[in-house]
Amino acid sequence: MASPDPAYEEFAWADTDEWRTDIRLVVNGKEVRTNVPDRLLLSDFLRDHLGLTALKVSCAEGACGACTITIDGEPARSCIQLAAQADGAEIVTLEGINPPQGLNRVQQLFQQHHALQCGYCTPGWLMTVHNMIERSVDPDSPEVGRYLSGHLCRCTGYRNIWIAVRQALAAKSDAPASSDTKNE
Amino acid sequence: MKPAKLRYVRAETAEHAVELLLGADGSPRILAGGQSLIPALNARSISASLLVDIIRCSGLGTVSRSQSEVTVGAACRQSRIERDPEIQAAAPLLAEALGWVAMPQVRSRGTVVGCLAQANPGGEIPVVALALDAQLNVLSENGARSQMPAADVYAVETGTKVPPNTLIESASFRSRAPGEGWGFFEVQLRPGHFALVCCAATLLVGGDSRIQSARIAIGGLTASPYRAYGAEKALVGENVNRESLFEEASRVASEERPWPARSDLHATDAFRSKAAIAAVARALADARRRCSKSPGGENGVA
Repeated sequence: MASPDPAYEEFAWADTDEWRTDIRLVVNGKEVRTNVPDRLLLSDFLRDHLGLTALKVSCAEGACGACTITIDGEPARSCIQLAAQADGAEIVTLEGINPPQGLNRVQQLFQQHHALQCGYCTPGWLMTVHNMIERSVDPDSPEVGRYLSGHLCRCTGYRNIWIAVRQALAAKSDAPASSDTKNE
Repeated sequence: MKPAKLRYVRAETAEHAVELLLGADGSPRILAGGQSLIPALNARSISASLLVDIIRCSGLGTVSRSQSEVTVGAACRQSRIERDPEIQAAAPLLAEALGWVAMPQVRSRGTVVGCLAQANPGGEIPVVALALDAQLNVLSENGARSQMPAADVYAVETGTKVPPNTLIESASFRSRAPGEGWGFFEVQLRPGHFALVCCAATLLVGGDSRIQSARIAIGGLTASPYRAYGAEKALVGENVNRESLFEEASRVASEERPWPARSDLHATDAFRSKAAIAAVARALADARRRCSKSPGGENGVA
């Protein structure tokens, strides 16, 4: 990731007189230095410039949660930030917490409990759950509902997500699960 | 959608930010967390020729506390203020209301002062600012600094009375008085949504369980939030208990309003007027429950 994919280097939509800003940030543990158009959204920078396509762009107004990443250790919307604002930030996307192969524990729980159908919103949920685990949110606390209210899912009706998330919080880790958890 | 072409500049200091605003053509805007501004730019419902990012300006990221007030800098993010033990002790109403602002994923970036500047009709923090007699500390041209009381800032049907080309450097909220109770309640379409209506209240009771002073601010009902001054006065000397609560709340919510009740896609003016009674009742009940013994009196909820 140190050198951006040349295919994404130039922004085809950008005008020749576009204002641009130098940025330097850390994405999934690696330093990125580049120059971006001022109006470029962070979500588009991560997807189109760095090729990190797990996050999804949907509402572009901060309501749906599909583009959620973590910025400086807190979950945040990448579609209502400019890439220029992220200068100096430490960013983690789903690619940064996925195991090299297979599914992590939270993903396994989502699979087991049918907590997704089309999957478009899932990367956002996974980033919020990752942060909740890091913050040791109690599965029985009202905080769970507050965090989850930051995501919309049009497939599941939320109940299965709720079950999977509470189990994930009870386990207090999103490391890959051992095989005996398959049929919990 | 995506923002139209714009220029982004990071201000080094608050003075630098005001200079940048003054020197810009078109429609320059201050950018803090951007959690309202960037969505509006994405939707192209507003435009900006220049965004002046103040998040790293020296001195704006601090919280300071004196005997009587707590001051929150313009670069302080909501999630940090919500969790700050000092804020929770000195301004518990602010900490509680922040829990109603959008969702944690938005509060991680949004700022407290940005909420005050945006003055969205469904925003929570201007309502808290009114109830806590907040002062907005405004920086204008040539380093001139002034204080604007929240009551003046929001005494206009839309937006604020903060002059253009200025920066709200910080906001000072009144600290909780000994024994003072507080309450905040909001009626919303779903968690994280703007308030259809909301109410912020503080109460002080005497040893005889009668109210000594009340502050009640209502938001969402009208385009700008307002204080129910008449009802506050009428409550002094009363003994608000469970039986009289709904009656008191109805009186508060039906007090003559500075502007007509709002009606939109989400709720009619009639619905908002009824929901306001519920919001006031819950805020008052919480405030009453949290009042503690005043000097020389006895404690207890009637």
